[in-house]
Amino acid sequence: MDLMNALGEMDREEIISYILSCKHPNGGFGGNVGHDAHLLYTLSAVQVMAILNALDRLDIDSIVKFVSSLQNEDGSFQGDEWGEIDTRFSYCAVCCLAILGRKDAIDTQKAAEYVLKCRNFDGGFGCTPGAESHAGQIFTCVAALSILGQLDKIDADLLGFWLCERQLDCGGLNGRPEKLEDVCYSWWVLSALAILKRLHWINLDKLKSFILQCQDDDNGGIADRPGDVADVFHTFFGLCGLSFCGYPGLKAIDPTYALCADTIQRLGL
Amino acid sequence: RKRKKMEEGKRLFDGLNACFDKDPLIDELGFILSASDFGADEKDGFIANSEHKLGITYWCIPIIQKFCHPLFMMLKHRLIDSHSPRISLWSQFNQQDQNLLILFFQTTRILLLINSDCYSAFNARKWMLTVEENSKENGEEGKNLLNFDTELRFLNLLLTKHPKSGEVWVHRRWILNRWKLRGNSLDSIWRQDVEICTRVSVIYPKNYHAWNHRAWILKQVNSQKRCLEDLGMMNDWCRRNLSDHCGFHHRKTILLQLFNLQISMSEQVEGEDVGEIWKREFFFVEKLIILYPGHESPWSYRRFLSYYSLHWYTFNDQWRRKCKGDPFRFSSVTKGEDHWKEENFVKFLVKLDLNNWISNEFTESVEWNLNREMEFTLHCILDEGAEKYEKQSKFASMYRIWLIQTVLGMLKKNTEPDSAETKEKILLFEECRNTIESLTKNLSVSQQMVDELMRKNDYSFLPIE
Repeated sequence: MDLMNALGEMDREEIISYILSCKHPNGGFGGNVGHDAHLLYTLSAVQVMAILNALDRLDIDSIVKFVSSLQNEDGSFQGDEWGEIDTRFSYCAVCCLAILGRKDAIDTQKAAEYVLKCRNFDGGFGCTPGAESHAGQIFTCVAALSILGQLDKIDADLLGFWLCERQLDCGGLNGRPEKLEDVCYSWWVLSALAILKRLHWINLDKLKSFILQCQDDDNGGIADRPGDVADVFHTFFGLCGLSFCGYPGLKAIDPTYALCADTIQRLGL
Repeated sequence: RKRKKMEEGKRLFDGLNACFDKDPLIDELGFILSASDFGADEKDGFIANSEHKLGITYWCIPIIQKFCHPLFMMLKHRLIDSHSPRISLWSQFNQQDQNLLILFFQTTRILLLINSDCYSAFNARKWMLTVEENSKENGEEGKNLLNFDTELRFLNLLLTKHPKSGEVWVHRRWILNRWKLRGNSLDSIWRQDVEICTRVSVIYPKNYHAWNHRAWILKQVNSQKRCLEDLGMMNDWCRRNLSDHCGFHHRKTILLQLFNLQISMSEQVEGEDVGEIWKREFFFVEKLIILYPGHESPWSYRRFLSYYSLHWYTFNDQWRRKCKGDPFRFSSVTKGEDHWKEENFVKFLVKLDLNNWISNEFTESVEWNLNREMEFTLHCILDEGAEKYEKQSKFASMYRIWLIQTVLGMLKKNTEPDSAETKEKILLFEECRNTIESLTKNLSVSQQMVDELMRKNDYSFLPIE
């Protein structure tokens, strides 16, 4: 909603109470009321509170404690106490702490080292070392390395090359070779390219018309591809993609934090 | 009316759980429109037949969910969250709470059948398994609600209906890790897990989670024998699923693991030298590219094979010593007419043995070098008679661009960058770069990108450390 300058149409206080009701004593947030604490939802909670300019309502120290407790010796992050490791969690941890201004709470050098271990020969990144390069994982790794100040370790041309190969004849983007186009990749691929300063390598006009074709004329939302049912997830990513394409009426979005540029400025990032 | 819904929810809930009590071997789950279609009483909300299949009707799902979810949350709060520190032995519970454990277990089961992304339900089961183990070790009687085998079976069941669910695989790995920690060998379940991964990949192709798990279990057992077995299984899969990039990626995983095993053991273990396997893989992928033109995945796999042939030749002594020739061998910038000569192509086709193109034996190998590579790609780019020519020429062109960039990056990082030989090679490939326009076709990427890449003075596509 923030992208469309329509944040005022939502009940701020209601959203804040809902977020806070998902908080756990250990500092983490669950996906919904009663659900277990997990890094994924902790990041989302912090992002939403940042957009609403309500970070002061959070117990920042407890969140920092929760996040930093999930880092392992090799620099990787587990999602929760049960131990699953994935580069997405590295991004969640690093992004969350950066928004809160507390990157110092983790071993940033080791965190970057682990992300780089997940780099493949094609320049892409997977969820764990050696896993298939995937646009979603690539976004999380590139953004994490950007936050950690180690973007120079990435061969931007090589990765940019791989990312551009995601654009199909219809203008849409896929996430891996020979997969179908999907609007959500307008975010994962474009944001990665934007961070790597190679957004102009993609045919943005074709992508723009693809995203617009994915809009459901009846209810206004955006679907994963033309003709399918819309959902909030794809609407968000479609709008982000359009923002990158310079669609009028949308705010600029920061590719690293998935927050609007004005929020980023307010946070001093 | 709300109470009526609750009562109905409870009835359906109890009915479903009774299914599992009656038949603990249920192995397939589906959602159906109507139970009476299958001869069952419609108001039961589900059907369960003697062949271990369970079908839940769509209409009963929201009713069960509305009943089960709040119940799960309430019990979770009471049995897990409200205790700090968490309960770790059954005996720490009072009798009243102990009596609720079965119900709690049942709620997790039903919730996950309907929505296997409910990670909190999986976590509850992890907790229960942990407490069960702790209690038994402590000399107490277990509750016998769940164990490794039943958990794996339950996960297999969930995968028949929810093949895309990431949480299922996460839970599976937790179970297997724990099992390994207790002194068991993952090798004994390797084949079973590979079977599950294969089955799920058939239901939902290019399933990232399934293939990732297959790679994980292979890394866990870390044996050359299993690697070669898996590679053998992949031959059939890759031939039948040419658009399945996951399948080709799995070959990459296997090959890298074989290489690492050979390096770490500093001598050949049993069977093959990895270098020989590599040569046969080139033949395998080239055959697929020629026979089935226009598929991106085999071309992507070719990049992997080429990359490491060049990379290890440059940086790994063991590998270089075993190489018969210099893979960087390249003598000329090919012009239009010099494309892969007809007689060489015919020779290659003969080796393919087109009468036996479904053969599983890949005894042929390719003596790979850049000369041959550049000719082969040019042939694919110019062969307008081929089926799916536009796509094939696009992939061949992109591969060519990638290859030239990669070679230049490697030559720059070569151990002897200033040698006359290396300098000569750099000049040759720079010339290739300059003539890229005439030697690529049907690109769908932006000209701007290609221009920027080709005009750079410093060489990107540097080899990874």
